[in-house]
Amino acid sequence: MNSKIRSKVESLFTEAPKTKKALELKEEIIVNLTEKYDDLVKGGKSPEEAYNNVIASIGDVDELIRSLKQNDILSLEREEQERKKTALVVSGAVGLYILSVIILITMTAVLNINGVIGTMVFLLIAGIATCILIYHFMSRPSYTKMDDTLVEEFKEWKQNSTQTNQLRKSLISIMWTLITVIYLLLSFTLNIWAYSWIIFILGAVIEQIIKLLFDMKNMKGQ
Amino acid sequence: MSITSDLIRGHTETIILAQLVFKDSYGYEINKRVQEKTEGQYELKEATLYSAFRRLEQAGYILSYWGDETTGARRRYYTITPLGKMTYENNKKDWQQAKELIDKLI
Repeated sequence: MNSKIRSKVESLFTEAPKTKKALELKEEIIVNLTEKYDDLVKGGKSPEEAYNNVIASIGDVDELIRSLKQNDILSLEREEQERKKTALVVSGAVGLYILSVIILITMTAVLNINGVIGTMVFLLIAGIATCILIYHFMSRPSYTKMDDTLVEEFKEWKQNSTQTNQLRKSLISIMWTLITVIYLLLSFTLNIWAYSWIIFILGAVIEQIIKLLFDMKNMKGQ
Repeated sequence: MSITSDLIRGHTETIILAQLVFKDSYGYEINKRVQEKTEGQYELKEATLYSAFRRLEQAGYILSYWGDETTGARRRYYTITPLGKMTYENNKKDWQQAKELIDKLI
């Protein structure tokens, strides 16, 4: 009979959002109704009578479910803000990556500054951009996920992301192959082995940029 | 009974606060006490009860926590806050005044 009460309450909650709050409320109602049912049976009622009595006492749950949905909208707004902040941080970091390459080219090719100093400045700026990104994504609050993750939403997200992930992976592997080819070609033909290794650092930067572009596209798609 | 229910409905939240003034409690126990005190004449619908809990919690009048029952399912207990106690006292005073006035009028 307990499972009958459970399935009845489950059916009343089909319209409710699948949030932690809603699940807790559902459990709370089931626990209380089960206790009521047990008391009624102990008091001499037949199981059917007790079950009908319990179900009749539930009443109209529309308002309750509406209030759960309102809470859901609030958390959506919070997520929206979080997404905007992420977009800002990501675009700032990508800007820094691009700037670092421009500075490297300007310093070595235009201003004729020593290549080592140019590379150091380049690495410093790229490092700062990476630090900003890591800090942002690590310090991002995870409560929205814990509180409001929909199972359906997760499934949908996973399905979408596996497709884009495949594309991203193949792009990155093509890029690395190209870089190796260019490295060998340049080094052999121009005999610049002392400097040509820098192309691999460039490769790492390009890989990050590709990843970021995909992340940004994902965020927009959400 | 329906007219009585309408009259009482506006006081659902005060009724719940009144049950929590003396000790922390959970949904079924509160409703059971309401039934006992009214000798079975009045009972809150589950939906009304839990909607009221949500409203009271959002207003900061009550807090909830999960019990630590070792056997069976865990209950969600509610406890009244100082703000809730103050609201309860005010509502009770308001009701006393209203009751006196209505008694004089009808």
